[in-house]
Amino acid sequence: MSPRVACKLLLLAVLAAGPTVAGQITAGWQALAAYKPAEALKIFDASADSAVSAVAREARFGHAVALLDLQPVSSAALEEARKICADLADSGTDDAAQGGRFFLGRIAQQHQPQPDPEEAARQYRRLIGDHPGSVWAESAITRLAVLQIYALNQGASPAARLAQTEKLLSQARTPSAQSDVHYAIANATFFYRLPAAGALPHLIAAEQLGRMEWPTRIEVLIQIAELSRLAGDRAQAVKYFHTFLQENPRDLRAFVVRQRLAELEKPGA
Amino acid sequence: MKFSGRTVAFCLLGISYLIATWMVLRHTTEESRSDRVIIRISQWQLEGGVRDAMDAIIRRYEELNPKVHVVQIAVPDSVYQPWVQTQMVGGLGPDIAEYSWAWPDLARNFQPISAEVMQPNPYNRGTPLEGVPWRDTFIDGMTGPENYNQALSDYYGVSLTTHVMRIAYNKTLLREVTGRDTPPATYREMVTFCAQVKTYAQTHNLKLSPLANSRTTNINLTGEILGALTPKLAESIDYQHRLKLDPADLGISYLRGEWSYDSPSMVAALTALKEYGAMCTPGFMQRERDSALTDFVAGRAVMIVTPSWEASSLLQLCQFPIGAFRYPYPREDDPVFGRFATSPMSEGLLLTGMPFYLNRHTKHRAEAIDFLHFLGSQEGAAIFTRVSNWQPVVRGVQASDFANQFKRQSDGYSWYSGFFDPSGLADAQKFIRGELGQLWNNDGSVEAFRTVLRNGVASRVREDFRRDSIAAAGNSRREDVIAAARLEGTAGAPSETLRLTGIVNEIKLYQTRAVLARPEGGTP
Repeated sequence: MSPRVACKLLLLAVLAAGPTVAGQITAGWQALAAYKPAEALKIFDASADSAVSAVAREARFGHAVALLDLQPVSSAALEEARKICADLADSGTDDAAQGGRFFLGRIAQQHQPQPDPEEAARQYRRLIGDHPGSVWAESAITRLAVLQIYALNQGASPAARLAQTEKLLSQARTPSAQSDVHYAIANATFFYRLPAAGALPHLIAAEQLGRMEWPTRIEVLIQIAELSRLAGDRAQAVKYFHTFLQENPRDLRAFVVRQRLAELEKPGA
Repeated sequence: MKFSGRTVAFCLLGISYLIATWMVLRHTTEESRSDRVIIRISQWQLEGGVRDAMDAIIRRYEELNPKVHVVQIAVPDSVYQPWVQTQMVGGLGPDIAEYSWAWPDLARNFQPISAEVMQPNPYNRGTPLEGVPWRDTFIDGMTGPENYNQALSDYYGVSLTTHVMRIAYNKTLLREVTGRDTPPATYREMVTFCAQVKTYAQTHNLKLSPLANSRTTNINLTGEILGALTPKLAESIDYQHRLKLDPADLGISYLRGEWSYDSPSMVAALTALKEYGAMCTPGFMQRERDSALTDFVAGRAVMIVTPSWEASSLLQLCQFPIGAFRYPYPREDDPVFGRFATSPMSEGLLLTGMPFYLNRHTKHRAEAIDFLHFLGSQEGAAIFTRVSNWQPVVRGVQASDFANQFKRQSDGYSWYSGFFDPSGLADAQKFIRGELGQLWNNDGSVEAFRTVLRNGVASRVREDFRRDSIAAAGNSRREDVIAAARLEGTAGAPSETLRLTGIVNEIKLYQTRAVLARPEGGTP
């Protein structure tokens, strides 16, 4: 059982005595998911002083997250959200603590006017180290990968940064996180105009993990087939071109793919 | 009996009041009828036949569903977007709205239909599409950006049609000028035919042009002419090995100096464009599409550049028989441009349009979805094409005979035809299109145009990327919040990761920033 699920079950058990409060917290998250942060904020604030610690902590976490979407997001609101997240992260190991740590990373990476990639990476690394395998840590790995490739250690060569990022794969426990890291490395290989063959094993790994959204999968199938063809791996190229055609018969590239296949499957080719 | 002006004014005011009261009462009465749910659907296609087609679809739907009343609201395109936005803000938005690209706050105003598109469409029962997921019943598999929103990772739109550019021609004039019934089949025949028309006009002292065109209608064809002569250039910058390019690829590559408007194939394409401009009505870049239409309808032009959505109007307006053909691009055997051509050339990505989105705050979600199901079924699509003469987009539905001349030719090479839109955003495209006079004016030339592009495109692409990265970061922040809310507010199987903005979008944001951080021409 993951730490997050355990925390949730504990919270639910505590809340069994007060289903109204549990419903309120859920209603707060649902309001937030429906793009109604002001409404969510009121709901979370109503539970912030709950005598049940787990409830109060989740309500505070909800409050902090809602502040990040309440327009216009002022620097004071951002600072308040950051402080709440820091308090939660430093005072427990529950879901609110992990969520708080994750958002400390996201605030530094994307929410504050001047991004602070080093601080974001520090928070992510701590989260990954403290709670390996949790949904928050797994999400942090994918964002850390992007930071390591594009924003950190700019003095190192792109190839060195990609090699460093490959090490994250051993920390990723779930197929989703592994898939994203593989994809990020492959994509960066093309972006930095590094030898394209280096992207092939990562693309194959990402495809085999089966977690890519379909628009990404379409592109990856073509890329694997093309890179295999260029590397002289005829069987692999044929296999992936066929998979592409089977899954995307109406894609505009079907014409070129059929031509490629005809060439590859020609006797004596 | 004499009436004073004041009496007349009061009478008019009174009559207006009574009419307004009657309309409000009628509306209120209809709304309050307990046995009928009212669905309002808005759209902005006022071209010939489309409103009639929507009405026909609604009539049939109401026959099948007598407890639902569907009201079509047709709004002119010039005010459509502000109209819908105002309605949405006031909480009075239509249940279903035709989406117009680049609306802000899509996710706040509209709701995804991802769960529905994975299930079969009930209105396809008894057809070959029975049991097929709704998504796969469309000719493009709902892969277009107006159907599937990649930034939000959800399906939103149900499309009704698709369009291509064609050259429509006056069959009577064609015969009169050339003595033949068939339009030009090759690029050289087209050039010769246009010269023939000009000579004919001079000889007979007529105000007659070969090709009517306008500031707006030239755009798609311009892109296709460029695309026809640049496939090898496009392939050379396909660094991601995807067998296609997208605007971001093109823009990044341009800023890195990996291609330019001075590349040999680009110079050839610009030359072909110059020749295309010479075929058109003089001063066409200062004319609107209505003026081009008037020239053609009045017999002052033998041909017209027309999108297929205009064709249904032509059919209603013209007193002469009309034909249509695809612009004959230079192919490999062309003596001048042949070495740059790769044929056959596809007409580009099959994108469906006229997408309908579901209001996030509709009170009648089930009924609105049900109507969308009918709209996007084989029967709905068949009614649509039969009445409107527009293209259908549901698999297995045949276009009407007239619409068949506008059927997209998808098979063939197509890398990307957006070289005049090298960021996929507003500034660069607007700049390039604004400078086309340097190419097409009487004193214009390919060289003059290239000089302007060489000096002005890069800064516009950078500005486009800068704005795009700000918008992407905003989207990423919003999705952070939504992802956390979904995780915490939903019971069920635990997720592996949060559903944040997709890794592809996050990567794109950092790549754009990396390109912007370097001086022009530098490799990140």
